[in-house]
Amino acid sequence: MRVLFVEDYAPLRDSVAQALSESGFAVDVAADGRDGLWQAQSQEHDAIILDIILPSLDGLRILSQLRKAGIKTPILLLTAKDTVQDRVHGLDQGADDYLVKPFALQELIARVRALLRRRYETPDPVIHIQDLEIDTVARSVHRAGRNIELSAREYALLEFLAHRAGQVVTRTEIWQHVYDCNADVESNVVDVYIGYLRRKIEQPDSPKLIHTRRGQGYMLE
Amino acid sequence: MRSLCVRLILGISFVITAVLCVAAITLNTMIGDLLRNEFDRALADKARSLMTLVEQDGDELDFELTEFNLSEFLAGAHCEYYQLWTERDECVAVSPSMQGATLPLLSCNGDAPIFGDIILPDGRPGRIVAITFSPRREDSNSHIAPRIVTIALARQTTDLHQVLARTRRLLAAVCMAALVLALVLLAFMVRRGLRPVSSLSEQIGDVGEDDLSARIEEGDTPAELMPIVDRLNDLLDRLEAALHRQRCFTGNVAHELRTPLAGLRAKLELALSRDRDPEDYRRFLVDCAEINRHMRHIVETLLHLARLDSRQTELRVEPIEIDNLVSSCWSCLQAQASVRAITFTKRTNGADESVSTDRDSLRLVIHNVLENAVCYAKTGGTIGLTISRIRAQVSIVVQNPVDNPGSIDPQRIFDRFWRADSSWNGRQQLHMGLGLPLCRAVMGHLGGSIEAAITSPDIFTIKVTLPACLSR
Repeated sequence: MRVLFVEDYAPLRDSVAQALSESGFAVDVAADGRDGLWQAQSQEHDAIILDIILPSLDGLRILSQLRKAGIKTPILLLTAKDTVQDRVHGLDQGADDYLVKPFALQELIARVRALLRRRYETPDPVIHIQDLEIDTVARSVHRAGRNIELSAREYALLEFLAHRAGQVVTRTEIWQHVYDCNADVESNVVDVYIGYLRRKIEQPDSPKLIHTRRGQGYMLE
Repeated sequence: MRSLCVRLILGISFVITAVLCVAAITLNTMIGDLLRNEFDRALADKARSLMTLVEQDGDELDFELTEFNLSEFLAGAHCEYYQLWTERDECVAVSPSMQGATLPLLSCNGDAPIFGDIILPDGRPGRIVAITFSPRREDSNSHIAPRIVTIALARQTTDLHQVLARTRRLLAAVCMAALVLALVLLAFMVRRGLRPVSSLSEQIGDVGEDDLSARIEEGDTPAELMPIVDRLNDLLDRLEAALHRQRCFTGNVAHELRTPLAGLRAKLELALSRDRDPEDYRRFLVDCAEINRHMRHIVETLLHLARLDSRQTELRVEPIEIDNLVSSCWSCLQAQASVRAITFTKRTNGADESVSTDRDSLRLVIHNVLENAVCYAKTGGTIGLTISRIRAQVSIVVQNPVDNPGSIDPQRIFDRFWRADSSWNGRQQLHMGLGLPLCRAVMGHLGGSIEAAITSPDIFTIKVTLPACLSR
């Protein structure tokens, strides 16, 4: 899942980005409002974490412009402004959630996960696809009761496919949502990781879960 | 504490009571005098009518009244008394009512009646009049000398005293009734008159401590209260502005401290979220120490401002060479400036640029102004500093080119926590919008001033002016 984090205070920006990354998210960061708006408009993100007081363009104006442009990405406002008026104003501008500084990293990540579940209409944190069970909080995968060990990248890929279960997901979408932008672009990286996933979650005696749609992409069902 | 209403009612009641008492006493005295005069006049008239009944026949005196036995001179409840004396003080006639008693002989001068208060023979209080006269003569051409006779007439005054007592009681009753009516009307009128004060009091009471936006309506406020309403509204204006400033300041303090606090917490939680290499832990600790240094800087600056605001800072006045102080400040910033290829020029327009002021305070101002210039000057630009002296004032002008002059608001640059772009960015990580406000507070303490302006399209200028000699 790709998350954009817009924050001008470098120590906080670096820490949150690292925490999100270690939690399996692909993270883009922006240090000012203009860059944040550009990134939000130029690339699809699964969630955006937005500070309000930013250089060049404040967070509320970014939020307003994104909503006017029809971008419905869930947005969590992260700010030191804690009055009820501030929260109401932020939420009324189109934000999906509001978190006041200082905050617990675990709470921030939990709220991001909640936004993602809401976005993909999977309210249960445990996603079931046939006998495959994906716990998005514990980041664990079981099939027919058997624990499956996945790497962070493999898990991120599986979770993205699971959130869109039953839908064809293109390689480009997978690339955009699962991989960091600065990763080396290999034309068959997605295919390679799909292959890794298949080997781990599909056994000869169990039904196939990941289906290839030639010329379109992949579908988990 | 008595209310204004009670004070007014008591005060005015006292005045009304006093006025009514004086009026009643005066009226009573006047009525008493009038009735007594009337009594005396009637008594004198009757005495004069009795005088006509005395005749001189030759050398003899003839008093005809003794022949008539008038009823009022007979002994009885309402009887009167008379007595007649010759010029030799011989009593020649008395009324039957005297019953052997005598009336006092008042000394008369001429024919003017003489009045006096006496106790009548029957023991009652009375009034007496005495008149000395020459009796009527039947033969006016006689060679016999005219006789001189004194007649005294006395009458009881019990009735008069009863009338006077009734008059006093009536006056007292009227006064009491008037006083009660006046008090009732007074209470009503005072309450009605003080209604605007009550309304004012209620409006003031309605002003909440959390919301000072309410104002006292002028409405039908009487002219006497208008100055109070105006002053109160002015006071509310100032209180509201002060509350707004305080809230903004508190909000800004919260924001400025929360952001690094969030960074610190995030660093610590991230470090503890999993086992890491020693180098990672060292990096986290270095970052935390830097954040801590930043927060300490904010807190110390806020404390300094608070002390300046409450005038708790002691000044030690000593002679200072500004040129040396500027060089000392710049030496601390030189390395930071050289990173961005910023150069520095210094010029003195006066022969003597020394001042007598507080060294630490002036150093803080010059350092902050130069640091601000280094932070915001265009990369590769030049910071110019000019020291000049005009009479008893020394000015230090610092100029530097800026990248985005439109983002600088010289009117707000001295507001606490105001930053050109309200943000934390790499260049101004330690600039939390307190440096220049601190300079302004310090300059106010030093008896000087600090102003900012965009003096040409991209030149930002700060001018510090201070007295050459601080007299504290």
